Amino acid sequence: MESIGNKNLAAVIHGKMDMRLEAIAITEPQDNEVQIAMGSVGICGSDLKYWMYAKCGSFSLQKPMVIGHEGSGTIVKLGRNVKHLQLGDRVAIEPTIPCRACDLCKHGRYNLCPDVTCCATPPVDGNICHLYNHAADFCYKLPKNVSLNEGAMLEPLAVAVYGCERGGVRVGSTVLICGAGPVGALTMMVAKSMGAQKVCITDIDDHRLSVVKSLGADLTLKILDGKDPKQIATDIEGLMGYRPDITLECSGSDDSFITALYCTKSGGCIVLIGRGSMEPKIPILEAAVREVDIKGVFRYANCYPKALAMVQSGFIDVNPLITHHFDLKETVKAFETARSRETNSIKVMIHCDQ
Amino acid sequence: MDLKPPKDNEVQLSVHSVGICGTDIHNWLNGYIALKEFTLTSPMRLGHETSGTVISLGKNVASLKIGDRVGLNPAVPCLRCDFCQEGKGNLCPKIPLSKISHGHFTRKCNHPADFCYKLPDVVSFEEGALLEPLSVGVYACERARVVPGASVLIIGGGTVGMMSFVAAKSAGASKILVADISESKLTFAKKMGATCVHLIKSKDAKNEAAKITELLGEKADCTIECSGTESGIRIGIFSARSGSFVAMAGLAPEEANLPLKYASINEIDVITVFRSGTCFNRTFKLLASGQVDLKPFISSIYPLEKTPTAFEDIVKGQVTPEGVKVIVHCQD
Repeated sequence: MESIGNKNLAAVIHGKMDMRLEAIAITEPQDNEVQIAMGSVGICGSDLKYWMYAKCGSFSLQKPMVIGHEGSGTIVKLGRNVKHLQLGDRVAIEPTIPCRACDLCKHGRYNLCPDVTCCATPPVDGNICHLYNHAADFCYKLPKNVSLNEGAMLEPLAVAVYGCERGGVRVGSTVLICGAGPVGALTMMVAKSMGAQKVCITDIDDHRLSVVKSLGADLTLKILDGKDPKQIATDIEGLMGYRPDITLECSGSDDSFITALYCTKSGGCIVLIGRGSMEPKIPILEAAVREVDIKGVFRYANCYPKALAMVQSGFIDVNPLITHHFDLKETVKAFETARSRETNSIKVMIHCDQ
Repeated sequence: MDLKPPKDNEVQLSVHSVGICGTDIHNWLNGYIALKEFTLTSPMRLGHETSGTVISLGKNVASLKIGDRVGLNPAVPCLRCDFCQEGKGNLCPKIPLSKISHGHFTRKCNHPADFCYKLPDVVSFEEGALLEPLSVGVYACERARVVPGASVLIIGGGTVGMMSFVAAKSAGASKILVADISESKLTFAKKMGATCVHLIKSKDAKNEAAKITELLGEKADCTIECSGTESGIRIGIFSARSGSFVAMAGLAPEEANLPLKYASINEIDVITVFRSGTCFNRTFKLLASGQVDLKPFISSIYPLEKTPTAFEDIVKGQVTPEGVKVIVHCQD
């Protein structure tokens, strides 16, 4: 067991563009917790926002916070009462921990628990560090054929699974995905795995479109900035041959959402996985007369086991999305790589065990 | 107008009562049907909330007899397209939204027999005309997932709101709050049995929602927006429980600023409601069972010749506040 000192190195956000590598305390795992020697942690768009702006959405940094929430590692200590995990088990870490007792938790909607905490959402520390404690019931044992890198990818994959579930993707579905970043790419792969007969992805970036095409997107369409959403909707319908049943909006662009309102088939739905502006002005009558529903998502619930099953079985290969690797000591460089469009990075992985 | 005899599987009706719907008012005021691109290019007769008496049968009609009193489902789908086959007949492209389709503010009309429902003696002609709006209320409750014990918020105390209220009560709602900008509508809603009512005084949706939450004692399990206004939808979203549904049963504004980030983070789904689809049968059974009394919801009755006056009176707010539905008697 490593002693306190310079051993539990962590990437800590102190303020805007102020990330420092420093030693943090090592605490004993509580009852029902495990202590994990962190392995791989991916960088997410929200992590970038905390680094760049010291805030993300309605959450603001109030005090220094360890960043990172897409993590995996190896169990080095067990708290009391932990039965389903053992020392040495490699696990994927679901970063959200709800109260488990409220009505929403009891209904299985634990992502909406008013008291839910999440790694790297203020004020809770994340896990780009050496040693980290977590609730054992939110740690999932990785089988031998699933790597720590793949374990770290379960987090964005869970986002994709949840988005597809909320949208009702099933055998024969026709799907439009707006945005070909990591979430869009994974959402496409999950939709195909769920039996979608045709998936079309749109983006403004040629490179990202070529990547998702190589990963299995049936159709791609480059969106020209400033083009009329109604016209884009017509273009998409022309390309697909029909209007899609389900649109999974992953880009967070208001214009993209408006395009989806014109484009989605009557009786279908749009899932807002990406976050747009607070109160966009939208052509709501279009949705109302064609019965297009609008559903948002907040993280995910009960999706880690499904995400793991898809990776374990080989249905989905997440490895092509991991484009860059850095050691823990190079975390700042890792974030700079993730931020820059020029690097063509998709998922940047930080190795905390190096 | 000359009327052809009924075709195969159709009946001809002597039209008795036709309700005036908000959509009719909107179409009359604007000259287009819902969306500007569907602007009328030739005259169209309105009226789709209809009841009447069968006076003639087309070939193959076995379900009805001459003299039967019926209420109509005006939305007749094709039964063959993808939408119809998947149980989404309310979205069937054959049901005209953009084309001329003459309604029932007239003495006689033809209608497919399968979409005429024989009214039992306990149901009046005027109540029969309310079948269609009641079916929208039933469908809205289904889309908002009203289940026994649910707390329900209804925004807008007009016909759609009151029919949603009737349906929510039947569905076992534990408490129903009706909100509106009009005192008289709220007085009527309270008289009809609303658990509590809230007078909306401002466009500050968060503030109004806070007052509604306090009055209801909780965030609403189910929210049915029946005013068709941006403000109403906003108040609905801010009043809804996390993980619940806001069913938009009213005609929506063309554009609206909606708090979608708030809705997303709380997984409050905005569920649209278009016509009533497969709910019509159940709506008819509900009305025919005698468990709901729609007579108090009828406000004023006008003879057919006075239909234009009825429209004007509605727009000027000159109809009685007792009740929500203005009916035209088409034989008078």
